Amino acid sequence: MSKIISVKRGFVEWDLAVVTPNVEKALWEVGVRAALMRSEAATELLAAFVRGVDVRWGEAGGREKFNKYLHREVQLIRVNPRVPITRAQARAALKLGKYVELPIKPLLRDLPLLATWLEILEPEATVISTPVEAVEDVKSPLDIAALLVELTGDESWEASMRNYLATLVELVNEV
Amino acid sequence: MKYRYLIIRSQNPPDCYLQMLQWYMLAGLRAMVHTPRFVAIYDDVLVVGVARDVVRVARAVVALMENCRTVKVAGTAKRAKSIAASIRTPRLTASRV
Repeated sequence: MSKIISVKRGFVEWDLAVVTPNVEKALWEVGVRAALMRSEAATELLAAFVRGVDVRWGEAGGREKFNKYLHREVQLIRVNPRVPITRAQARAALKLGKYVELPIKPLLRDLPLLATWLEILEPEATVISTPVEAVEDVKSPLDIAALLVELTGDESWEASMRNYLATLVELVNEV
Repeated sequence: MKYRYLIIRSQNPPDCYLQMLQWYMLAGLRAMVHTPRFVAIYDDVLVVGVARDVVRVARAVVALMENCRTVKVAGTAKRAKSIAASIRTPRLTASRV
C-alpha cells in the first residue's frame, strides 16, 4: 500500500532533549515545526513525538551493533558520529527501509570526519539530528543543508532535509 | 553584483561577524571581490550582506559557527533591517551601537 503524504513546509528536529519556551521559539524561528523528543514533555509550538513511543529506534555505538539493529524491528538507527559505518551498511539500511540518524553537532568541529560520513550515507535514508540540549544548540536546518551541499556537491541532501516532515509522518504512521 | 542579506541570530553578534569574515575566504576569489557588507547589529541580531552567488557558502559557514543561526534572508538591506528590528530581543543592559 502506498501512502500519499503531502507536506509543504517545515523541518524536524530529530533529537530534542530539553523543552523550554525559548528553545521552542528558537526552533520555530528557523523553520522547525515538529520534533522527536527524548522523553515526554509538553510543547506549545512544535508537534512533538517521543522516541521509543512514536518511533522505534536503537542506538548503535559501533558497526556490530548497527548490524543487529538492521535486522530488528526498529525504524531509526542512531549512530555514533565518531565511528563511521560502512558503505554496505548504509545501503542495507536503505534497502531494509530503515533510517540512519546522524547527530551532527560533534561533526561540525571535524569536517574531514563529516565529509567521510557524507560519502557513506544515503541522503534519502538519513536523518540529521542536532541534538538540542539548550537554546545555544539550535541550528538553522537550511544552514546545515547548505553545508552538506557545499561539502558534497549533492543537492539531494537539501531535498531530503526539506522532506523531513513527511519522513516523520511516515515513521509515526508505521508504529 | 546583487546581494542577499542574511539575518543572523546570535548571543554575540560582533563575534559572529568576525568569525564569518575569517571563514569567508572559503567562498573563493569571487567572494573576495564582492566582500561581505556589514549592515547592522540590533541586540542579538546581525545583518550582513553577501553576494548572491555565495549565499550558500555563507550559510554553510554560519552552520559551522557556534551559537549563530540564519533566521531569514532578505533581498534588500532596508528590508533586512526592518525584519531584524522587529525580531530583536532587547537586552536590559544593552548599549545600542
